Amino acid sequence: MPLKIVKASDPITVEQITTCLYGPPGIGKTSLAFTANAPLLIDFDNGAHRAENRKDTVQVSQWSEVESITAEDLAPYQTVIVDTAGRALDVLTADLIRKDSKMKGRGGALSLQGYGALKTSFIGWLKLLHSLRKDVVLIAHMDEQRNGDEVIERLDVQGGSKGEIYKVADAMGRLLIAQGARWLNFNPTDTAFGKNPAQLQAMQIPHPEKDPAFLAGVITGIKSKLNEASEAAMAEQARVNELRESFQQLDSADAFTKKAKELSAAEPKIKGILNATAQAKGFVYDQKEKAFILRQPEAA
Amino acid sequence: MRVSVSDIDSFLYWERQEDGDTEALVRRLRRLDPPSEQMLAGTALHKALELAVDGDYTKLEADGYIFTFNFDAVIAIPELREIKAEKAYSIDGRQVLMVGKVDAVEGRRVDDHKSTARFDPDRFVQSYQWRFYLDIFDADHFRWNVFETKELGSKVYLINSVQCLEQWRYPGMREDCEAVLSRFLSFVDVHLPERSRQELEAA
Repeated sequence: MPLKIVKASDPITVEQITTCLYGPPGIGKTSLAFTANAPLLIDFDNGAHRAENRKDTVQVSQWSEVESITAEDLAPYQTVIVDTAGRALDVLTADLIRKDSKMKGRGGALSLQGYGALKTSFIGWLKLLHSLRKDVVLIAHMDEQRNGDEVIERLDVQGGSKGEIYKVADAMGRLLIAQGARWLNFNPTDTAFGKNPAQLQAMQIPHPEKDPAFLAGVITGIKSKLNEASEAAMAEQARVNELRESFQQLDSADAFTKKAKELSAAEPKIKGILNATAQAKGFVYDQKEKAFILRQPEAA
Repeated sequence: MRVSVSDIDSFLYWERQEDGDTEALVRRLRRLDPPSEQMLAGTALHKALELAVDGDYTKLEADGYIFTFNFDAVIAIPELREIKAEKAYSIDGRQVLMVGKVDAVEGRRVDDHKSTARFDPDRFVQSYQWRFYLDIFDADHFRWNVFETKELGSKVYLINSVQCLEQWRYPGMREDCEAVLSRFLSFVDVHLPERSRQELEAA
């Protein structure tokens, strides 16, 4: 069974994303999710009725009910909300164990094989939703853990499955209450997680009546920023490749020293690439001489 | 003062432990402890990946270590590998040169390979290594390639999976880095006075 190593993949246009929203119970995660673009909420937690601005909802108690949802059923919707991701993974776990006893490990948890199947099934389902051109919003409860006086905020999702959510989420934001208002913050902190590809500032969450398309705007903004970043990354790589090729032409310690002087104001990465190229050609930078010199062969 | 990115994460790990072993941290920062078997295996895997060209691999070897793969997966590793860079920070009027080496660079993304017995995303996401790397390399996007390894025998490892986890630059990241660096300098002043003296002599 091989590991296939390929060159870095080309940036691609992002059309659908997975956003994870987490926060304490009762803060309004579901109400916020309902402000996404044309949402359908898959209610694993049986809590949708508490949302103020409830929209179309499917109550789910078994994974087979999820599997029976067709592309036609989803056609009128742009966003699929999984409420909650933790409970969805629990339901999927129960389904895997029911179908195949080998999936069951010690104490009723999943076996290693079962965990692999959970990951494949869950990610496969999210990929299917994306292939149907749906954005996905994963809702998760927050779990508070204490470390001394510090409160650490975590996703309340069973063991290893949490990693799948971290990996699959393009953006991850937490809901919190501060200054008497509800906020959505994608920034990570020392005690809380976040993933902020659009570099958004923390934003106050308006009442759904005031801005019924609030989350739709946020998701559109993230997609647009990801696509801008993808273009910027391609341009940057082209610049780096050009510089790197020019460094490959240098063939003496003096030439590398001259180039290093020229690049004295360049960003650290470019200097690092010059250094790496010099080293590959047998030159090292001498801090005292402030110049590249030929590397001395190591004593036998 | 020169500070390596890995020193910061050692310091933060110590800071987060209620009964953190200060002596062990000081030894580590002074590079007095020999590398553990796990660290040596990690270094060997990094070297194997650094030298690997495009292709299918059932095993990789470096420094006498053998890594076999127990899964099918595709991993995209940029061509530009093992790049070291330095960036100056001014902390409370003091000049600090942060030094970091990333495993790969592609556009505005940097990659870091990790080997671990069990994938624990909390640990990676909470670290400051990615924040400093993004800042030092002027990048926006960070990707960990986490190899889950199991030791089968002397210098022989089975790799069960590779997990890709990503993070992004965020507003205020540089300030967060500076705040940690400031706490680290206070620790150095008390527990590693020789580094503070060197800094004064160099000034």
